Amino acid sequence: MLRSGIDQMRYAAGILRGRLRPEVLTRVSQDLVATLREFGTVGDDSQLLPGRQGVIDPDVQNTITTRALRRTAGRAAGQTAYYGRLFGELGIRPEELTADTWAQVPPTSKASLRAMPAAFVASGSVPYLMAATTGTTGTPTVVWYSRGDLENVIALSTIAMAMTLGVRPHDVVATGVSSRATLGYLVTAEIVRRVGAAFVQIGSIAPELVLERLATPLYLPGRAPRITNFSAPASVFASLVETAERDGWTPADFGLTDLLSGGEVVSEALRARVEEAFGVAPERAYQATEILPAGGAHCSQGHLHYPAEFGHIELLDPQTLEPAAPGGAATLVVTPYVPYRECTMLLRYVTNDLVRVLDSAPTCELAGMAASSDILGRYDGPLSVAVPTRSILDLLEAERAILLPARYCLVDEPGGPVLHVVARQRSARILTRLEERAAALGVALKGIVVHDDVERLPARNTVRADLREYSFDSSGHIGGGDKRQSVARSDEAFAGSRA
Amino acid sequence: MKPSAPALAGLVLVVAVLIGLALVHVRRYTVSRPPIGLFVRSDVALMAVSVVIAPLLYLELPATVVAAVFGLVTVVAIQTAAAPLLGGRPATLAALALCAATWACWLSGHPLPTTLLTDAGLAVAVIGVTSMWVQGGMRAAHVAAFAAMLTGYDLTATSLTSLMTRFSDHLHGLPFAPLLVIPGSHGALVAIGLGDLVMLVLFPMAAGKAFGRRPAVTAGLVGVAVTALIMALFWWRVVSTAVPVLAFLGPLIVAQYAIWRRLGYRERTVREWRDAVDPRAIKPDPNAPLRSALRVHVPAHLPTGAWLAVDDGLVVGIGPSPGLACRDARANGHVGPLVVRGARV
Repeated sequence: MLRSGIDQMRYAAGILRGRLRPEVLTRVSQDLVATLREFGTVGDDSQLLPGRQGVIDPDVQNTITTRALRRTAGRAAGQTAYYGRLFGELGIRPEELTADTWAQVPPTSKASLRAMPAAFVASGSVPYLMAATTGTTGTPTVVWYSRGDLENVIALSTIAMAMTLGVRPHDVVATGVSSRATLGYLVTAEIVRRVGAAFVQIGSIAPELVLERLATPLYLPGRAPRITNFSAPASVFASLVETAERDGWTPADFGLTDLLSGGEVVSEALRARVEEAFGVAPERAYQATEILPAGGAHCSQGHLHYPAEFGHIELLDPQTLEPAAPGGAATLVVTPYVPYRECTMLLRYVTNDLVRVLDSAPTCELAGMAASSDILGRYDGPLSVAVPTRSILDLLEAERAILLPARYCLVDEPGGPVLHVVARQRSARILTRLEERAAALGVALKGIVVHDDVERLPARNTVRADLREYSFDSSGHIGGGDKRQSVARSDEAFAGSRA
Repeated sequence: MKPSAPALAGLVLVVAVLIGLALVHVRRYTVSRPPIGLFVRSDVALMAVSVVIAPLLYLELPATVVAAVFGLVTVVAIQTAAAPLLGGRPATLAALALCAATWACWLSGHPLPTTLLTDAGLAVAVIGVTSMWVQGGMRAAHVAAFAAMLTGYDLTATSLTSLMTRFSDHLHGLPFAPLLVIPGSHGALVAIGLGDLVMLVLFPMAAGKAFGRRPAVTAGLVGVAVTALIMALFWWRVVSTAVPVLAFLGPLIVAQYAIWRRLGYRERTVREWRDAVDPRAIKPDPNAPLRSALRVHVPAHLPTGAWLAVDDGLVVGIGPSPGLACRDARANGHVGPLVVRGARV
């Protein structure tokens, strides 16, 4: 207890000094795991834990932010080729920046990072891991992490997973993310090891195989009988829902207690259908390879909240990159702070992730943290603001005639955008239902065109479920009830034979 | 001078009441704890070092300074004990009021009220601290290890050297002295040291948390019996100077711990204690259902790729994959845990 208290004080002192020893944060996370194992819950004043920011006086917060920004800008300008040149050309002095003058620093685009990742790596760091985004929108974006960066991400994610998702030693945790998503895989595997749970890497294999893995009893000592926790991108959940509904799987076939979805927009319609199929709705998390450990957490009112501890978040108009107005669409512009990130330095990184600025200050349980709406989609021009991905998915994923993951495209035509979508069949009834629901949701469409073949779409959206890994395993492909007849029915074959 | 029988009996009674109150407190009231952290071995080691160093240090300090330090510790400990009953702020006020009254009585030259208030503060403080330790994750094993260390230390500090006698004389009559004194014992002093009192109260609580009600009651009775025995030794004049209580109690604590473990009790976590998990619950053999599944007779006509869902040695489902075999079992009405095996193992 004493050593734990000392570690927490060392962590707090490290944050104030701007020099954080990763092993201290690691010990804090390990103490949290031990605490949860002993007591089942954390003690009083849990808002003092990393990432659990309580209400802070605005002036104090402003001072803390200014210090963190100066420290981060100082390292970026002094140790990276990109920001060294940029700050030199513009005559920006990091030590004079404040939270109020931070906008002097030009935003960093995804294209700049993609074009030359090494130009963003601090010379004083020791790069260890090349993490790349999945690249569903084109070229993957590369971000180098040092061992210290990775240790920080793992420790903070351990705290988040243990507290938010309630992962415990009894659990069996599986991931359905692509095995090429190295960062996510490494972090999850290590978190599970530290919690003392069991880890299953399923990968992004065929949904039939995933369902089969989730339903298979494990019968391992000290573990839950089946996989309890599963994380995957939203489109993978969509494909699982589609397959589960088609093949007749029910929640009783699984032993899932916690689901986590990140990396893609999770619509409320999909959450409801996932809950119907698996008995539990997926929790959401906002994280991105480029900005870790900065990210967002959801409150009970559906807002996305941003802890001020790990990074500076700005909500900027996606077109002008000026502060967005209340109620307006904004893109998240993020500066991950030193000392959490010391290898790839990014200042005012434009994520292109769209949110809506809240009209009024939140009153939820996370009201102490800055907030926005949940992620609406990805900025890809004015059309993506007018009809964001979330509104399309809310429209399509509630309609059971639409194949999941939803295949669609928006075509900008005179008079407004037209939504082309693939359904199981072309039908006037389906079209009417979609049009009525679009009107009810207020989706600004000129029209909807239903196709019964994905090849007929004018263009095809890509999703993470498309990052399919192939397998020689044929068990899941055997699929539905009719094929079970090829083996036998147990009541016919055994009639209750006991050993 | 021979101590009076009421004083000796009074001390035994006080110890018994204190143990009882402590057991009620730890069971009924949840003390505050930090967001993360629990009692671990390094905390026991630190306590052991503190126990050795503190008396030596206090002997070098002016008695009033030592009293002030103990007064401060007493305020915090009383607040800890009283907060779950009264609320944070009232508990703080109560602790401050009790300590201020003690200090005032001492300054105004009233020894009896000073002793009574010091005793009251000490009693509440002991309950608060021990309850906080046990609810903070202190295990019976920690207490047993601490008791083993204190057995040797108490023997040395009390009997083989004059350390404890000098320490007791140094603080005699001061407020917040770490001695629970029974007033009215004219002449011979009837008192018990803070360390002894802590261990008398602590082990029943830790045993209750770790092993359950019966070990807790046993530990309490053993503590009271040890106190009564020592008081009897005074009454019979077998002893007439300070007695190292922990030299008697320490080995009994270690023995109790060893016996309960030997009897198949395992240490419960705080969560298991609050959930009333049976510490003697025998874990089922995890391999038994697997062995049972391996013994199942598989008809020769089943294809190699078939999978069987087995429940208690009975095949209850069959399918072309493990998941589908389980689905088949559920379709047959089996909802319990299943073992799945291939047709050909």
